[in-house]
This record gives sequence, structure tokens and C-alpha cells, in this order.
Amino acid sequence: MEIRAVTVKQLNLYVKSLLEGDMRLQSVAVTGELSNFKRHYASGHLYFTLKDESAAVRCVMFRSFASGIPFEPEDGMRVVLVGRISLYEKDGQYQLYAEQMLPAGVGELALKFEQTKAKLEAEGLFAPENKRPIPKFPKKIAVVTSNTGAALKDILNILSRRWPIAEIILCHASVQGQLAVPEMLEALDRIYALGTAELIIIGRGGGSAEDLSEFNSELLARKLYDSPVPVISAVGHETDFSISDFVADMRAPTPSAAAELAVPDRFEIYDRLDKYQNLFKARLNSRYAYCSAKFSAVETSPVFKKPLNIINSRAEQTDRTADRLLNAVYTLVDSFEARLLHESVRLDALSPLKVLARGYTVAAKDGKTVSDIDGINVGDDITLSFPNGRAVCKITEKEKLN
Amino acid sequence: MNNGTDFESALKELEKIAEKLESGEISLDESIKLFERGMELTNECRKALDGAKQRIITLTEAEKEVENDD
Repeated sequence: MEIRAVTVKQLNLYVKSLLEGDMRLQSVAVTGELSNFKRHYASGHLYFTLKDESAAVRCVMFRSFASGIPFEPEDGMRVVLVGRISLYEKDGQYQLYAEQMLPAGVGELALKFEQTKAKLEAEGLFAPENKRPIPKFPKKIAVVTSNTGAALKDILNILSRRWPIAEIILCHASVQGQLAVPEMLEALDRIYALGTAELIIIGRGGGSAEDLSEFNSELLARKLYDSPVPVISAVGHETDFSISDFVADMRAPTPSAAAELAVPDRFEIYDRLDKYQNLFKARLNSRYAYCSAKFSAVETSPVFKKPLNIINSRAEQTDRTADRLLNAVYTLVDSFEARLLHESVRLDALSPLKVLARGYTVAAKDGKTVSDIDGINVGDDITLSFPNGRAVCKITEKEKLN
Repeated sequence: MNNGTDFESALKELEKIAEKLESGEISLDESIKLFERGMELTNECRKALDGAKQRIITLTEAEKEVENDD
């Protein structure tokens, strides 16, 4: 069997490709102690060893990543490194190429926190459009916290002072230690199953970052996201956010604050009720005043005070009208009289007696006035009328004029 | 009235009554009726709050409600 020799460089490149091909080695977090820490004066890259009691690994951190370290690293410090594994061909050593350095303990928790946060955020569990409004006047409020903690006392104190009318459904769960997450999940399940709570407060009082870390559980976050009713999260510190805070519909800085956000203040409601009552009374009073003023205006009007006035004034009006009517009639009669006189003068002028007086006579035969020569014959008797008498004459001769 | 008082709808109704009374476009008769309804509602709300004692129920593992007497 023939063995074909390769160069050292070929060997190292092959091993390097194996390391870089393993995805698990391309994103690792390792905890250990810093030693042989050196910052290269020219390039600014960091070279050091990460070790524990029985092992060590060579590490590099390039300047671009080194500038993101939030503290001053030095030998003996316990840290968590995040980075990838590869091989340096020149000396065949594998190395951790660090991209992030965090202090151990807090560092590990912080790392997990960031990872969980990024994951759930990407899934939309923190989306503002999924946040539900907190009911204004909740009738039943479920509280998930430790029944031995100060948080519970604070919450109950404030709820009873502000809004004692709400019913509290208390559901104990440990809030730190290994039992915390399973107990909180169970408590929430029971509340969901009961189905009567309109609002859930979950939280605990302040403590160390480690004490609060159960509220960064991914399982708890998903359970809270699935809540059928709005959730207020209140986890210890005022400044630090937990994953529960991000996923809850509302975040309260402390358990007391959660209770204040959960219910209205009954003393404010008393004030509002007082204001309404005063307003109603004032409105009714002014309405009454307006109506009674209108009434008394009507009541004191002359129509009601001296009703005869109207009759008297109407009577006067009637009298005046009657006078006018009479006057009109008189005027009319006068004008008729004048016309009559005028006409009678005219008639008088036309009277036949007047004509006769001027020397004319009227001839009549058999009682009929004769105005035509053909109406009479020779020998006829005609009567001639004079103003003061008449004469019967005989026709002796007649001549017709043409 | 007790825990069942619906403050949200009561306060909404009070707001409406206040608006109507302010509008002045209603008869005296109607405004007296509104006034009476308003006073009744405010008194009910006040009574519900005055007499309230917080009821605390403990939800145990047995999924039963156990009432605490404070």
C-alpha cells in the first residue's frame, strides 16, 4: 500500500477546512480565564489564551471586535468568549477567533438574554400591534407571584386602596430558582383554564440579575404571549428589562406600579361622580331658572294683568271704524245729491214746457203728437198745446215741403 | 349593585347625560328625567365603591377557588 506524502501546508489547510466546515464550531461561546493577554501595539488586535484548570486554547480578537469590549480585559479575569474556531496554518495551532467578550456569570446570562430576545423578536412576540389595551375597570385580576414575597403585599395594598371592587385571583408560583419557570407556567395554565380573569399581573420584587433571570425564560415568554387576556409584567428593577417585560402587553417598573396601572383610583372616580352631580344640579337649576323667568314674563304681561284693556282697545277700534263707515256713507249721499241737482237742472232745460214757452206749440191728433205732414189730412182736427192752454184747430190746407 | 357594577358603561352614560343637559335642546320634562337618571347612576357607582371589600380568591393546585377571609 502506497502512502502519498502531502506538504505540511496542504495538511494544515485540509484540517482548517474541516474545522471551518463544522457549523457548530463557527458559532461557539466558551467560558474561561484570560492569560497571556497582549494587545498588539501596531495593529490593535488582541492575542491571549483562554484557560481553565486543565485546558487552554489560543485566542485572537481583531481590533474591529476588540473595540466593542465593554470593560478593560486583563489576565486572570473570567470571561465568556463568543466566536468561531479555525486553524493558523503557520504553526498548525487551532485558535478561537473571538468576536465578543463578556464578563463571566453576568456575561453568560446576558448572552442568553440577547439570544432569546433576538429570537422572539424575530418571531414577532414583541410586536406593538399585538399589544392589547389594559381594561379600564377590571372586575377580576389574576396575580402570579410568590405568596411569601413583598411584591404580593405591595400589589394587594395598592389594589385595595385604589379599587377594592375588583376581585383578586391569587396564584402562587416561585419566582426564582429551578422551580420558578415550571410553577409560573402551571399558574398561568390554571388561570387560563379558569377563564374568569380579565387581566393578569405577573412579577416579583427586585433582586440580583441572577434572581430575576427566570423571567427571561423563553417558555414563560411564549406562555405569556398565548394569554387570552392582557398581561402586565412587573419584574424587580426599574431599569432592566426582562423578556417577560417585552412580551407582556404592558410593562411596569415595579409590582406596585403594576397594581397602579391595573386599576383606576376610586378617589378620582369619586371626584368625577361629584363633578357630574354638580353639573347635573347646575344644569337643572339653570334650566328651571330659564323656564320660570319665561313663565313670569308671560304671567306679568298686560294680557293677563288687564284683560279688559284688549276688549276696550278693540271696542275703540270698532267705534272708530263705525265712524269712518258712517262718514263714508254721508259723503256718498252728499255726492249723490249734488249729482241729482245737476241732472235735474239739465232735465229742466229739456222740458217741453220750456220749449213751448219759447213760442213753439205741439200739434196732436187723436192724442198723438204730430211731427209729420203725412200724419194729417185736410179736414182733420188737431189740438195745439200752449203753456197755458190748448186749442182745437181744423186743417184747411196742407202743403208738403220737399 | 356590587362587583357587577359596570363602571365603564355607567361613566359613558353619565357623559352622555351631561352632554344632553348641556345642549339645552330638550324640554324641562326631559331634563328632569335626565337629572334623575344621572343622580341615580352616580349614587349607585358611589355606593358600589363605598361598600366594596376586596375579595381575594386563592387558586390552588386542585384548580379550585378557595376564598380567603381577610
